[in-house]
Amino acid sequence: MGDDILSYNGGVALAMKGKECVAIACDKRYGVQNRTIATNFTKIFQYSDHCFVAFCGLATDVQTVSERLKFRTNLYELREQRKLKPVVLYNMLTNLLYERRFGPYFVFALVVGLDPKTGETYVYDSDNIGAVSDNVNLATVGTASEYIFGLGELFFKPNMNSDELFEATSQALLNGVDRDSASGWGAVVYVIEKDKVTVRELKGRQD
Amino acid sequence: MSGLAFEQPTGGFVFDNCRRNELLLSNGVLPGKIHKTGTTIAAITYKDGVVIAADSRCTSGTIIFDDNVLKIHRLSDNIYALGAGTAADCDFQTRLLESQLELLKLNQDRQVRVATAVRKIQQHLFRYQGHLGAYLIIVGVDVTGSHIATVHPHGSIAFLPFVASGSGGYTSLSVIEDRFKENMTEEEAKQLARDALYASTTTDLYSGSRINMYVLTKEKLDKFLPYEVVGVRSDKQNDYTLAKGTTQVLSTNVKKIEFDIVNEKVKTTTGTHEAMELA
Repeated sequence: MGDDILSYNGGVALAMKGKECVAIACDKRYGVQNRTIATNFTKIFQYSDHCFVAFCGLATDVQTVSERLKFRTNLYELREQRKLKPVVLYNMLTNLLYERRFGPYFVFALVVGLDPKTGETYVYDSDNIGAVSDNVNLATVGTASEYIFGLGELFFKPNMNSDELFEATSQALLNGVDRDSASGWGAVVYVIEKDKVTVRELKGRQD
Repeated sequence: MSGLAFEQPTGGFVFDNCRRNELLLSNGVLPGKIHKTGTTIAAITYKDGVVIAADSRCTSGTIIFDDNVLKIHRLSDNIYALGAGTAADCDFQTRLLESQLELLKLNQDRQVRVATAVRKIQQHLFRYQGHLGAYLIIVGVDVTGSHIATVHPHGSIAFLPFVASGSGGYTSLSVIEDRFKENMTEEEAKQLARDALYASTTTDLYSGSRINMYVLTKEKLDKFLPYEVVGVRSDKQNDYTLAKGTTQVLSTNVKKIEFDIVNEKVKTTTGTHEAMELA
């Protein structure tokens, strides 16, 4: 070791807003430093019909935090007898991460959601101790995040429809990931709209 | 304990990852970059109250993670906090303080005083010996007048007529030191705060974007979100819209989401009402 903990396993995720739709995308690599172990490790998890979270960072923590969060959200839905809203999910996640402020999980998270009644879109990003962010247009986490930020800023424009949003998200992710050795090996994009979620597997460089 | 079945959040910090993390760090692994708010925050007292201003940039290393962060946190109707340093600490500690002050206000049936808020946060931060990286400026107007206090992570405080903090704090402070006078008018104070923030948003790397400003007096709270946009984005030179079908897709899976019908309205198309006839 002697490297950044977040690039030990590699991986990247990106989220972008459109008009009454949001997209979240991630690569599929799971590696241990320079060795690629698996190419089906998606980092996006669903917590409600319209709420998704992507976790990037140390793979063990990705799994632990996603499961711990699922535990809490399941209890919430049972107690409250209603579905999670994106803001609630985000608050739960940041609380979970901040509890371990001293001794943190090494995951960076993206929370996306959509309110099916109003069409309002939510994209939040969090660092590994749960720093609260406002609703942003574009967010990315992971080893290739710096490359993807640049591309995302280029392709993003306000009020995109779901097709344009899919293209913008995919191209930003694929091209960013091509410049990063620790991520890649395929990609998955979820486009969330009021009445459906479209999951697409992308064709990318397999290296 | 970390058994999943027993995990009920009880509040407060949990230290179960510490041993593992220590092991990782001793092997030379670098921890991930947490969001800092870099920042410039400033507060100035004037004749009727206080003017507080903050920039809106949040950085992680040198990458700007968020261009439009509100660094002004409400502690109570008459007390606000500005946060610099580690973003998570500023957010959570001010939220914690806000809820404690609300309970105190309900208990004592009086408006909370700035000195109370400052004392509470100071004692809390001292307990953590500076490990909570929250550089706060607490401002407010209460029965004893308007106050500004600066609070450092180790728990030291100072009550001052004006203060600026954060990475761009020194730059702002030099502007304020030059032109501050007692009992300024609201316009003078706002202009001074704006100039101080402008100086640091343009010179400091970790401050930028917008200048957000609140004006707090006994009677009112004016919010200027933003007061001025310093980092104006230039328009894109080209339209980068990608045509549908640009990305090659291996497989598509559409999951339909069931709609819950919230309400139903039936509108009839016939205009006239006919009386019902009973045969």
